Amino acid sequence: MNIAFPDINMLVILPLIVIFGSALALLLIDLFFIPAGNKKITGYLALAGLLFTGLAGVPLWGMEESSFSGMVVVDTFALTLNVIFIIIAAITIIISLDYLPRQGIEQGEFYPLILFATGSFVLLAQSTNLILIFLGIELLSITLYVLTGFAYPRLSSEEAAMKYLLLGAFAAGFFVYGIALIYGETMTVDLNQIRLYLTELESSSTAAVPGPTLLLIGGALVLIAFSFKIALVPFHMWTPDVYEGAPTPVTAFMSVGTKGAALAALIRIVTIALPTVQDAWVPVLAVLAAATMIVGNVGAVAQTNVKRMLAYSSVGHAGYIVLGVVAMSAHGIEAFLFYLLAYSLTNLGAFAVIIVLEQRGESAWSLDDFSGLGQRQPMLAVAMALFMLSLAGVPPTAGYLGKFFVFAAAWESGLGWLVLIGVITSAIAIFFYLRIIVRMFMHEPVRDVQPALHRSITWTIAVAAGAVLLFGFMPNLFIDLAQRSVIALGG
Amino acid sequence: MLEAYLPIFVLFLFALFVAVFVISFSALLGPQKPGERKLKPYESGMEPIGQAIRRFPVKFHVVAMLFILFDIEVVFFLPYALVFRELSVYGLAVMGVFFLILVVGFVYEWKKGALQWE
Amino acid sequence: MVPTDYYVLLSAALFTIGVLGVLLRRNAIVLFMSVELMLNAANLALVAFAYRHANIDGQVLVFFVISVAAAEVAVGLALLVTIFRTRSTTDVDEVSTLRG
Repeated sequence: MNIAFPDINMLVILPLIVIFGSALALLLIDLFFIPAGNKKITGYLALAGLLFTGLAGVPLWGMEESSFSGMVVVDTFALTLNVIFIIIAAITIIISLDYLPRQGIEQGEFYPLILFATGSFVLLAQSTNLILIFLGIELLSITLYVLTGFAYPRLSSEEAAMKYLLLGAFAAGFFVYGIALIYGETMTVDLNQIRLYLTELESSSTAAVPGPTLLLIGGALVLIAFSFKIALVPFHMWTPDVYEGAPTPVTAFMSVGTKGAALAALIRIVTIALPTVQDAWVPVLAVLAAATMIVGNVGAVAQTNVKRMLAYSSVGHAGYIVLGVVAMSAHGIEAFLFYLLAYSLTNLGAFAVIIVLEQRGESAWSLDDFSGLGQRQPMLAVAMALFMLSLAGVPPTAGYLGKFFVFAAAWESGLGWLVLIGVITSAIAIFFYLRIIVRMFMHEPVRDVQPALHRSITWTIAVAAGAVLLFGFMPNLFIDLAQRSVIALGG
Repeated sequence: MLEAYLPIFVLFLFALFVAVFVISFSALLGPQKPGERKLKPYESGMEPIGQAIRRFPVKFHVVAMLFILFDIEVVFFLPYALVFRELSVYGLAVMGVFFLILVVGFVYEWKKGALQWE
Repeated sequence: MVPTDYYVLLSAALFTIGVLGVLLRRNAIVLFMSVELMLNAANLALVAFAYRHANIDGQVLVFFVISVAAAEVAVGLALLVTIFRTRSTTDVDEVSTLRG
């Protein structure tokens, strides 16, 4: 028997090799060499691993190549996303460095787990095969279950992990069954070949040949699974609980990273495999996006717990990001990338401020903690105000431009009603974001909160705030990159 | 098409018949002398100690779960075993990498003391 | 010779039972079992389709699904044990300090 080897170019998976290699190495280094009370060193080493992953992307820049029988692809879209993911992971690690020992939950495994999760993001951004996308989603989910339960003597954390796991496994069931049906229809799990199958079917289509029914059912199941991961209404019910129970840096990490990675994979699926059956899934996704924007933003109004409020707000933002996908245009993908970057920086910054204010053993995250912050810590309050304005989409912040771009893209694609809902819900959103700002600057302090301002986290907040402003004034710094990514996708 | 299943159907019928026959005839014809001893859990005369349903220590649950994980990973060696000659050095290298990753997991659990019994 | 359509129908039935199990049952262990049923229903469908098309991709995915399911259940059971230590219950409705 002769076996034909597929063409294999290791360069294509270089970022994956580097990040998973450093995660594995870090796991062992932490086990053997890092003393128990000093796990910060592991954190610094993890940052080094992220740096190497970023450097591994440099020689690949501008490359357009797929390898491993077309399973993995490297292009500007993937590399741009990789940069965003590395930034997200780096900020998460930096804001965890002091948080973990302060909460008494410091363990060395935290940092390798973050690296594994980031590796799965990279995998999702690069894969063009349903098997790999399944593996990426599952790797991402399983590491996040563990990270969610990381504060494990605390019951709320365990409970959040359990809920997340049960619903995540449920979603995984839908995903696999969806893939099975798609495979049954098309005989392949490769996205490019699925498209070939569909175009052939379309050209040979007569009244006698039925449409791709199995594929559409399978596609619907896959969409349900993705909706669970991205937290689209009505599959969002786990989000507030899980986000509240998880350790705050983990909440920050998954509120931006999971959404970005899962949406990247969804974009690959819909742009590569399913453009010919657009009429079937675009309306569904549009309705999901509309419901998500409404429920997320209206739900956030009722919250007095800031962490829960940000959880609902992240549900709402998922709706806005999906607008970029629904638009199915070059501008839509650009808008998606820009929104993801702006939202990541803003949300991570906001969570960093919450971490600074979070006391040990505290699980209230009450609005009262923010009262009078403007007098006690003016700089911190100004940064938080900036993040809130950016989340609300007020100029001149990055969040404003992100919203502007997704709305413009959706408008161009003739989804005016969706834009209308988006604008109305943004107006609702301003109410609860402004509430925090009002608390900070116009109320007297209710109780004494000692902010835990360490050097690393202060710098992180400052840099995030600076970046939010910078991209608000000069979006072109990133837009060029986004445009080249779209060309890479063939959009 | 369905005729192919006729033997199975006959088998079902036969099984049903045997079950009904054995139970009903032993109930009808057999002598019945119910007594206190006959209703005890152990007719040998052993007195039962405590409830049958009770908690027992699950010291080994960690080992059991780790076993499941490594047990399942072996599934990836099976297809390789069928073609290892054809894949030659390349296949060996790839499986070596896979094995190395497994070993990292194993070293981790060992060093963490997950295999310690007490 | 059983037509592959029958296997697919059987897998659809199993999948539905699994989904209903997740939605209706409240014991975490039974929930895990239901999820396993869903995944294995998908495996059955994959194998049936792979057989019908004489194509290997489906069987490859089955291997990955099996191993991923094992990893997921291992994490789930570990979590369940820690929750049981603090709460002495595996009923998902009783573990609800977070407002859902």
